[in-house]
Amino acid sequence: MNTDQILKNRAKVLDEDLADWASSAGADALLAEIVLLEQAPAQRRRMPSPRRILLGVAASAVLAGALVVGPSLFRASEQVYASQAVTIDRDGDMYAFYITDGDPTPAELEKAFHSVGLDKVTVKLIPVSPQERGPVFGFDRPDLEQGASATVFDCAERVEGCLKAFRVAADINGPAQFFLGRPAKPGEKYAFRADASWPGEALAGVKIQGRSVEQAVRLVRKHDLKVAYELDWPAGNGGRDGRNEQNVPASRIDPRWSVSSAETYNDGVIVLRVVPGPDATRPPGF
Amino acid sequence: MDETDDRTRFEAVYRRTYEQILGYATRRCSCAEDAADVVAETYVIAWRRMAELPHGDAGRLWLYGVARRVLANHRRGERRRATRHAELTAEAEILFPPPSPLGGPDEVGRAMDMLSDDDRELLTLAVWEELDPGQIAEVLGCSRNAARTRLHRARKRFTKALQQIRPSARLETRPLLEKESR
Repeated sequence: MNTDQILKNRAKVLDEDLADWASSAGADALLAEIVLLEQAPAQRRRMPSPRRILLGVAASAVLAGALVVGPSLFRASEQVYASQAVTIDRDGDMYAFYITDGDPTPAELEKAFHSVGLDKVTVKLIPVSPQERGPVFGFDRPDLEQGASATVFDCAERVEGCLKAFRVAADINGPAQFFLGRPAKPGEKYAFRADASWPGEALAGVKIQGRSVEQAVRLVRKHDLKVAYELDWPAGNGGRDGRNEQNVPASRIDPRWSVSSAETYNDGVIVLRVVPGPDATRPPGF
Repeated sequence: MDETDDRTRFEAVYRRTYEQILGYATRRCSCAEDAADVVAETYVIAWRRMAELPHGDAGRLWLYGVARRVLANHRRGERRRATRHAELTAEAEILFPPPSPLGGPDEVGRAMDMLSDDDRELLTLAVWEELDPGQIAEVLGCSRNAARTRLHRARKRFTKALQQIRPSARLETRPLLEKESR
């Protein structure tokens, strides 16, 4: 037997074993999730996606601006600062920050900001789920949210030992407070929502997605947790982005509607994100 | 290209390549959750970079390149979760059957472990994804000649590693999937 055949035999699965998987329920669900996401920043519209609305408003109890989590694109750039904790590249009109310390202090981060001329930026660390893998960050000024993005895709290829990365505008004027997520301590409330079904979270391992509201509520109550509702309105009238309506009273929720996710601030309340049924009436502005 | 065109094209590429990208991730990940994460993140990047996604079969090779970088980041602990993909994770469980208690030593795996990451990637792209040197060159971003030469050397090193571990190679059978064994 030649070595290629030996290696082939070791494959867990071959492509031909996966015939028809492209039309499975899992493939359909992933496709539906992806096309709701925003595309490249250059193609963004001013109206944020449901996810971004969620993040921004979810953080509103703590922050005035929006938080950002997620990947973005990597481009060529030039290093302008490096310490043990932070490396900064200048990339056009942005600075790319690469964090190489799992537990950076606000002072270290402020020093990095100041070193590149952003000397009126202060830094605050905010508690996020320890399961959160992406950099969670934001500013207290909504105008600075524009253009800020996470740059994780090639993080460790760019800077050895890079754990997380993000980009901010290079021309920040005036005072601004920068927020960066840090793992919450046991029992500490989050300043940024987490998926409640992640390991270690309130509904760890519980499948909520796709259940009816009635079923989901029963599951949540079984865990002695409270329920709050949000509605994810799909894009209407040819629009690109859907809208997320928050703090929706239970009286407006049809128990037969489907739940798309369950999220938590680790505060004993599970936020059910619900997809309204086809006959639901949109409130003004949605 | 407007939104409708983007979505139509993305869906076409997604449906055409999904099984291959799922296969790529499954063969290289140790659990369903990791494989689902790699598939999901690969397509999230493709969606966000539609303008760069080549047409035709070059799109599939481009996706392998993205999946490769996603997997490398994943192995460094940088798990991305732009999507939930819970159903995909649940479905993929069937591709990761529990190890057989009767299984012998993983000699092929040990031989692969003796190779460099580059050699492993070259060999597996050639054998598991059945790519030729020109296609491998596209995925890895090197010249066709370089891919051909490096693949030849990787094969030699793999053969040598196998001989060191088990001088008389015997037939290895691929473990049956649960759905295959019914």
